[in-house]
Amino acid sequence: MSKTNIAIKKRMLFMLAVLLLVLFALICRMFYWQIVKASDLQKLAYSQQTKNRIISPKRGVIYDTNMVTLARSVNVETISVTPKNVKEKEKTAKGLSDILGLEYEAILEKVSKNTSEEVIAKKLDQEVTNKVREWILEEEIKGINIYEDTKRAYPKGSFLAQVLGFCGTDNQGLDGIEAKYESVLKGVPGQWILSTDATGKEIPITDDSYIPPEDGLNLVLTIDERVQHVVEKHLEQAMIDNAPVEYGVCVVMNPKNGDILAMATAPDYDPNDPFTVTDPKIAEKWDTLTTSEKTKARQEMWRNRAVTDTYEPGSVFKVVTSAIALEEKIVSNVDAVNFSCTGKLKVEGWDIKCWRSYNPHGTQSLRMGLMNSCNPVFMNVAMKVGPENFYKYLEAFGVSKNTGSDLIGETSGIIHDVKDVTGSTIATAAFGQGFTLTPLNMLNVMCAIANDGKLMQPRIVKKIIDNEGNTVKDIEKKVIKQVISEETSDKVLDMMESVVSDGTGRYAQVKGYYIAGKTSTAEQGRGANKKFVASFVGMAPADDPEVAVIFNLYNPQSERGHQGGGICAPVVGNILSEILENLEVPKDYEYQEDTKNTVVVPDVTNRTLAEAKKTLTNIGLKYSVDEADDNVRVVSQMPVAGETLTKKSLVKIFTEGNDTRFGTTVPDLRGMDITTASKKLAESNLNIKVSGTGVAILQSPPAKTTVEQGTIVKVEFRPAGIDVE
Amino acid sequence: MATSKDNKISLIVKNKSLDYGLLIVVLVLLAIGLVTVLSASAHYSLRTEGDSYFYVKKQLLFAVVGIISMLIISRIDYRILNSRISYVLLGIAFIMLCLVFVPGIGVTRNDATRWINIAGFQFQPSEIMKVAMIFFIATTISKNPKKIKQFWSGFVPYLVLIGAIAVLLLLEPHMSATIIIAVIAIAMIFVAGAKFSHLIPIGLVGVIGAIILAYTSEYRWKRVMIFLDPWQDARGDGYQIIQSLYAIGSGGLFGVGLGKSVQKYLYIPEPHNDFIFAIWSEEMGLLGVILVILLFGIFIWRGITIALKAPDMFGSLVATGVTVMIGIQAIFSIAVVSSSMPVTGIPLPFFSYGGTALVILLSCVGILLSVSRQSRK
Repeated sequence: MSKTNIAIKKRMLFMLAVLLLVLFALICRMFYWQIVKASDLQKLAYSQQTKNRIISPKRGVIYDTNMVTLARSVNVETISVTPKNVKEKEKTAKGLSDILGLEYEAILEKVSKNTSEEVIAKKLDQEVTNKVREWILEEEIKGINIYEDTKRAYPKGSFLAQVLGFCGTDNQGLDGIEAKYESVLKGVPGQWILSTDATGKEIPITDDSYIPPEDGLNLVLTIDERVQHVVEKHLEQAMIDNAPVEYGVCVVMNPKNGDILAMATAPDYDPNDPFTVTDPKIAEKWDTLTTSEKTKARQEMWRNRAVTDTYEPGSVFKVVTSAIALEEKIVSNVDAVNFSCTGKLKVEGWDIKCWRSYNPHGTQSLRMGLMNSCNPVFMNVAMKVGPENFYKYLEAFGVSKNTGSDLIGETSGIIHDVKDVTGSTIATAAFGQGFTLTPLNMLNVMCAIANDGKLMQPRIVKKIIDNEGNTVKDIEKKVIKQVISEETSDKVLDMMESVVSDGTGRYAQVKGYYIAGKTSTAEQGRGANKKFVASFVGMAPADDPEVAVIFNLYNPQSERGHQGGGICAPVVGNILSEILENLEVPKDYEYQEDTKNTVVVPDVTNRTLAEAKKTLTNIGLKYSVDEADDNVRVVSQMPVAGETLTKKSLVKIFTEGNDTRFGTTVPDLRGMDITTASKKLAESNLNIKVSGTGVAILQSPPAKTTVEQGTIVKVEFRPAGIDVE
Repeated sequence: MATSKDNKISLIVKNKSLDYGLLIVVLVLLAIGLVTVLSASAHYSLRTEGDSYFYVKKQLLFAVVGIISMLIISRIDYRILNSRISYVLLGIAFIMLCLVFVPGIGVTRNDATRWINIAGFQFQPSEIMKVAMIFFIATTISKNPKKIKQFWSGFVPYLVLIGAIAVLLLLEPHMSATIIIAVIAIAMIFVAGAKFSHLIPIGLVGVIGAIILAYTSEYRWKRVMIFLDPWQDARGDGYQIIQSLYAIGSGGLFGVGLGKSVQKYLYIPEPHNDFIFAIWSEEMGLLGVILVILLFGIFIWRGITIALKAPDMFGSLVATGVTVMIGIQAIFSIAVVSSSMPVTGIPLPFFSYGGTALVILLSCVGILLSVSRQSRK
């Protein structure tokens, strides 16, 4: 055994010193990381250890004036995959493609990617995602994430589409009120910072921070869902009746406060699916269109034409000229026969025609001028008012100016500067030609005349409320200015009532109410590009209007013509009749519907033939049947139960053994009076449904089509010889 | 040489007190190590085995076996190894190192064949080789201490021995074990009295050799480059070290609290293995780091003290070898974790998960304690 000597001990101590020195160096190194570099490293570590989940706020609801929901957010879910956690790529892709109905290859590509996350599908209903959840549990699928999200839903489909607008996939308002009130509706997103392990899985760390989202505020519109519904129904029908029509616009306002009760543009679209073009002609050739053509088609469809498109208002504007004439005391007695129509008027060397130049109106009072829509009367008035004064009023009414409504895309019209006004400019402006404005602008001017001369600011949103229903902000009604006197207002309304009761606006009459109105058939463009806008403005009750309606059809080209008094006035009449009832406006007078001559078809099916015959005979209907045995059961009838027929109309009865239907050709009824037309139809075993009086101008189904015997043919009659303008 | 009654060799040492300082330090390190394994492995364990305690339970079992082994060995007179037994041991270690390459026995993980599987026990023969080499060097040098000063007959044979072991280890490949074994051998030769004129050129050759080795292998060179700037490939080769630094940095001065590491959630891929010290740093901060480094410092101090007081050169060299073996592994492991040297897998003694390695480690401490029982007062 050798003893350890001094040299060895020294070397051991040397080594001890070296090792301890290295350990000290390591402490210094750790000091560097844990003190000097600590905050940098902590930040980096934190950002990788947490994931920031944004929680979308719930977008505010849009209500109508009676709190009917027009737009709301619904919960949907988004499915994504974390590719590195997906073990069985093919199986996962197959399952997802089966449940979601997506392409297998596209999903397979996503699950095979080398990324941290791939979105598979957005905005899925929970019904669908629950199926995915079940499948994940059953098949023990890994790597699929399901997130909550919200989607904008418009429960009434295309209802109020152009006014509401729509939202994009990120729930951002892209058009209409959705876009205009984006900041109110959207709310503030919340966030949830979650700790995760390196595979992205959440881990139980307690200091997760959660900031709840702030939901968006809700809007209460001035729109009345019932009124809007009536308007859309009639507008849609008018588009069909007068096809082809470029487009139609209808706005309903309350003159007393400027509230927009309804606003519709046809054709419309479904804001739930705003990118699908609804025009069948465009949809048909969709795939052949270029991107810019597609964009243009969509933007056309989205336009709220009541505010985005302008037109020359035509004769409706004569109401404004009348008001100016009275206010300026050019006319004091509206019934004084101070004017005369020779079919034209020479202004600065130009002959400006009256629309009825073929049969001049002769001597006219202001009232008669309005009732007949006689151009020379108003040209004369305007010339007497003089350009300066006339334009002062146009300025005061806000003609051709933006009304300042909250509607997106509102434009102002074009009007001559007062400095450039000549005699002929003013003469044509007197009957609404030579300048443009929007339908809303026109209606708002009419409302000022109806509202004792007070011009209001049109209002579409009346209140902003929170989720508890508390009012956050009231948007008060706003009087812009008194433009004409109350007295003038009363006189003009009285004249407008004459237009409907005994003038060109007769078709707008509503049983039980006095209606004030004015027709218009306005020329748009000149020469070869000339088109017409048929228009009617109606207000009721005439002495103190609570509703005002403007109804415009752009370039209608059916055989029914393009006269506002002919094609728009009846629609406004129908609209007013329904909305006055909806709004519970007291009737001006009681009107008893004449029901003596009509009967409702009873249900005679499942009875014996004898019983059926007896029932029909008893209420005054005829029948026709090819069955001899009275004990056989009736299987069907034509027309069906519930239809209204005039007495002595025919009901075809069918039994089990005799169920053969016979066709017949619809005769051409145009030009016939009601009696002749009824007889003609009866000869063909057809029934008639009459509307209006006078001569038949329109029938449905049209002449020469083959229909089943017993079919009801709707025939529209018009008084012969009435000027409708 | 004079023999005293004390120095008489008998199998069992009786009634001689061991170095309690060392024993306590080792037990404290082991206790801290177990707690850290528990914290670091819990999530990994749950994700891979479905039981948060799977790894810590196994480690605890091996710790108990290791402590029993340590205490038994501490009672056996180390001098029985100062004999042919150490030659036999070295032979067995070499055979085992070769067995690594025998299919069916060798076990490959992460492209390295470092383990053998015998009778259900999986361990690294390099661990056995470290111990066998310590005894072999101690036995041969203490037989003729002066000879080490001779270059060809005393010094070179050990270089050949290191070279032979290194070749086998580098074939696995196992760079870290190669370096550790070389350091242990050189440390023992240095303490035994090898000449500086021999050591320094060999040291230079070693350094140059290491640089060449690193430069000639794309894999090793990348590790060096990553060491210089881990962020150049943060998602690839730099990932582990960056995650380790995130853990260490997150710890700050006081740490995030015991059990509250976030980096253990698989950011550090196997948080209970070679990078366990990063988790301890995150949870206990710089204060915890200083505590553990101090404990290793005390361990080294006690180990060298035992070597100094050993009754014979064999004891001194064995104590030196074992102390350096454990000390240098601790230093390298902490150095890797703190990005103070290129990344190479070195477990932290008493901390890192690994049952067989822990038993061998504690058995070696047992030998140190056995030497301490023979201390000269």
